[in-house]
Amino acid sequence: MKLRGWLFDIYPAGQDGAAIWLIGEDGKRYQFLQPFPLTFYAAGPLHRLRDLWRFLSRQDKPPMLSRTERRDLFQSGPIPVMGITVGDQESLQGIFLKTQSSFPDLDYYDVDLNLALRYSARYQTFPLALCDLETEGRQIKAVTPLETPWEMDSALPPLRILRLEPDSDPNHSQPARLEIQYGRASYTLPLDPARPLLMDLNAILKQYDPDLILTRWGDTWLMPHLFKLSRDANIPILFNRDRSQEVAILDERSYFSYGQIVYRGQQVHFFGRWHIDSNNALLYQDFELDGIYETARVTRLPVQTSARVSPGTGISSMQIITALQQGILVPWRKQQGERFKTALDLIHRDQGGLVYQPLVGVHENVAELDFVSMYPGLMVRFNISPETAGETAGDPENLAPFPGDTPGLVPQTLAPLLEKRLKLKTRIRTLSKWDIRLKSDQARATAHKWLLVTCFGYLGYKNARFGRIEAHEAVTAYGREALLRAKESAEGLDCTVLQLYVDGLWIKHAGWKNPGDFVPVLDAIIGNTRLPIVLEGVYRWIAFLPSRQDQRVPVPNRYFGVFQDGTIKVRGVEARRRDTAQFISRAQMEILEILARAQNAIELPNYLPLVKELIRERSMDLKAGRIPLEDLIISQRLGRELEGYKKPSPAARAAHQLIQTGKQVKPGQRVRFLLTRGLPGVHAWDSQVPLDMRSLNIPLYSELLKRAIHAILQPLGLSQHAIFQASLFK
Amino acid sequence: MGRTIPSITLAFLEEQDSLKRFRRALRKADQQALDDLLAAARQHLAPAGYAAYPLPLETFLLAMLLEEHKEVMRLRTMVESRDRE
Amino acid sequence: MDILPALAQGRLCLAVIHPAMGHAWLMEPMASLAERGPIQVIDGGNHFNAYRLAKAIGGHGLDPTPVLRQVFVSRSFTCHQLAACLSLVTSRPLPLIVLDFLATFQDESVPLHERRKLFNVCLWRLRQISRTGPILITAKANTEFIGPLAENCDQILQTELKPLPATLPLFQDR
Repeated sequence: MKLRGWLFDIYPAGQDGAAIWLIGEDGKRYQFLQPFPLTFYAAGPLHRLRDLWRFLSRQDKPPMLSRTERRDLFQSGPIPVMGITVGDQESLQGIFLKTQSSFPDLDYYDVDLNLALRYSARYQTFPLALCDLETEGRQIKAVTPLETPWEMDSALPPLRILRLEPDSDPNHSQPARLEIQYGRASYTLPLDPARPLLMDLNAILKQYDPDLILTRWGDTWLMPHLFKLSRDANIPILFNRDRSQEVAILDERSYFSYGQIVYRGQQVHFFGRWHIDSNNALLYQDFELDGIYETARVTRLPVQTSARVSPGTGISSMQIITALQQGILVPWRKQQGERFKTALDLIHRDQGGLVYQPLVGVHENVAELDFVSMYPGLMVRFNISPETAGETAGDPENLAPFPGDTPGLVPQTLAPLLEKRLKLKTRIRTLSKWDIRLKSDQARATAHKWLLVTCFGYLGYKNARFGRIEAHEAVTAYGREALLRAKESAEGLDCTVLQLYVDGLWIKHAGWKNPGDFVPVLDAIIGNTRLPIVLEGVYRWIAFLPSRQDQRVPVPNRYFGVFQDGTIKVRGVEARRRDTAQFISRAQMEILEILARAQNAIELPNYLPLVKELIRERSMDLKAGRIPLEDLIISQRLGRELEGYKKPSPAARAAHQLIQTGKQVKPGQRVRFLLTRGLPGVHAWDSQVPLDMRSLNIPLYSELLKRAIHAILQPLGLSQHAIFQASLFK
Repeated sequence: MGRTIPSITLAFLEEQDSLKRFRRALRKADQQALDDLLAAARQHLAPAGYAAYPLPLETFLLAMLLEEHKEVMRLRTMVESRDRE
Repeated sequence: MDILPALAQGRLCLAVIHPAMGHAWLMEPMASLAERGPIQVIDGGNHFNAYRLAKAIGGHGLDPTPVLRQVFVSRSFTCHQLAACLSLVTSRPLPLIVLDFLATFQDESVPLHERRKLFNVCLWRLRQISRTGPILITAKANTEFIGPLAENCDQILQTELKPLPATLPLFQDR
């Protein structure tokens, strides 16, 4: 039978190989099976490989063995390897464990790869790809994708979405009802009694047959709660379309990433159907479903996985695809170390991006110029890759590419992603705000941005399979050169450079205020660097802020300003910090919105009376208890296990309160609390212990408010005293 | 895999810290002048980092001198324009 | 602690340091060694501070630049990398200093049996290298594998506990 449809899901199906779900063009949902042998490789001295051959041949179910040559990225030529092929994932794991424990001296490759990635590399498919299938019964005989992940516009299949959401945040209070929405139906059901709820859910699953179940708190509360109800009532819930599988539950975990502890909640995955928890889906707030679908397409990871993994895993998957397609071995354990370099070389190379100290104060008619996706662009343009940049430092001062007959693995991986992102960004600039493509384009461009932003850090990540510190350092070296050339280009045209920050610069020029005035600078930079750079905008005025502790000392990433179209841009102040109470963020933004009416820096003082009035009102609101408690919540991450604190932070103290009420708090999780008088100084928001309103530490909130206000008004020449004088804060 | 060589800011703070005893023994007014010089050096940390000298103190001292010279030039211009009036 | 007399070809020398200590104490001896000729440094804990080393060299009245060119450094961020790095160490009779040797073996995301295997591989390689040149290893007390490491070293030096410098204030008090 010939069939056309969208690839929906793929996962291991035991001895049947791979289970593949398709949404047909005819609207039906199909499940197929396809034998899909899996191969891993062993490399080492020939006599040891011979020993391995003999060892494996003697096994009860001996795998298929082959001798071949493959490329190890970190070695100069192809290496002889033994291929060990089995029929399914479980067999691969079993035979690998035996092999590795008996032959720990050998190197292993292509061991722990997601089946979806292997499949994608073999057949050039990807999630939601439109494909032609040739089938015989339930077996796939051939699959041909009709598109690539790099199309600008691909038709999505018509997905059926069921939304489930408890009626309250389970971290804060026990939900009583479940909100259900699918098609045109929208209603709520009580969570107790369980029986009618479970029967209703099963009826929806059977009749509506959703492709996607979109939840809030699904991974961490709703699904576990429903499973418990199901067990207690002895009524199975038919979440999986594939009844031969059990729902997959992945444990929560905390781990270190870039020096910070990160918490990942438990995950609940279905088979033949997707479950996405918008609260547990990374970056969901930034790009919602369109972004998740796009991430799945370009990384080739299944949609449920794509929604939850970090961008680092996404980039790693893309690299693995490139490697598999090129016949490059994917190392099981990252072993590549740093080549010895002199201590002097280390001083020169172990630097990050160029981060200047800005010229503190308020400036007018300032242009912000940003290199487009600078680091990924450098990797592609100058062929910076683990196998090219490992042996020499390259030639950053001449911006000369690393030599190579073909582009390296990393440039090959990033090039199509960069190209698609640039095309999308270009198109977004031309779309009106009512164009139906705008939201999707923005979501997809954001998904690309996160992947691209991560790829540099991933290049230097210790566990990255294709990471290499020398390549990571090369990127920063080329970046520093590009930024310096940009500075020189701007100064060559008599611009004053106010600030430089890794991939962007802020400049002004006497007499220039329109975007068109700055075009010669852009052209000069492009000419001198051969890298794309764009004008982010021209600020009517912008204030670069000094350090809070010492006003003589500039701080790199703390500023606010207004573009000519009235848009406000803020960095590094309270309004941008996740641990600031909403009330304070809002007050700061309200002040900025007033000041944003000023057409230039000279007009700014004219707006101070309005600002002072606002400050007076907000201060009185705070003292009179008119601020909703939700707006006073502070949210901070727990940086370590509670026992690890010598002097507990406010978050740690709040976490302790939660634990006393029987809740669990893991390192990396955010803890929400209010500030209270006396000890312990905090009241955990989610402890469900009632708060005595008199204990709220209004003076401390007032102090935080004053600090936030001072951050905005100080550049206008107002001293702390002038801002904090009694008449302002009565 | 992270940075190993301290950032130029950290290197500056270490040098500043090594001046603790010297600063302590200065008179108060001189302490303030020293603080001004140190703050001046902080304006140019990025070029100091880029220069990558094995002894970054040399670039910090140069940065102080640079700011002093700028101040001299500014005062000279001011005096000259007053003289002309 | 004067470590230079303890270093000799054929000897594996271990300096056990308090977990709260850094490696500032090592800069002077390292500078003295580097001034005599090339040395190799494997940094297992991200400790190598080239500025401090340069200052120590400068304190001896020497221009740090040529001396730093004689210090060959490789950083290892995982125990697998450390094992791979040791296999790259030249067999020339150069002094080798391994900073915080056990740091990468504390990573619990690598199964214990694998860390143990790699530890043994590294020890074996260090023994081989020590036949051609002196080796100094530093390791923090009370860490996994410190016992087996100490048993396999020829000389053990215990550093005196010194408090770490107070956290650097960002700005001077006015």
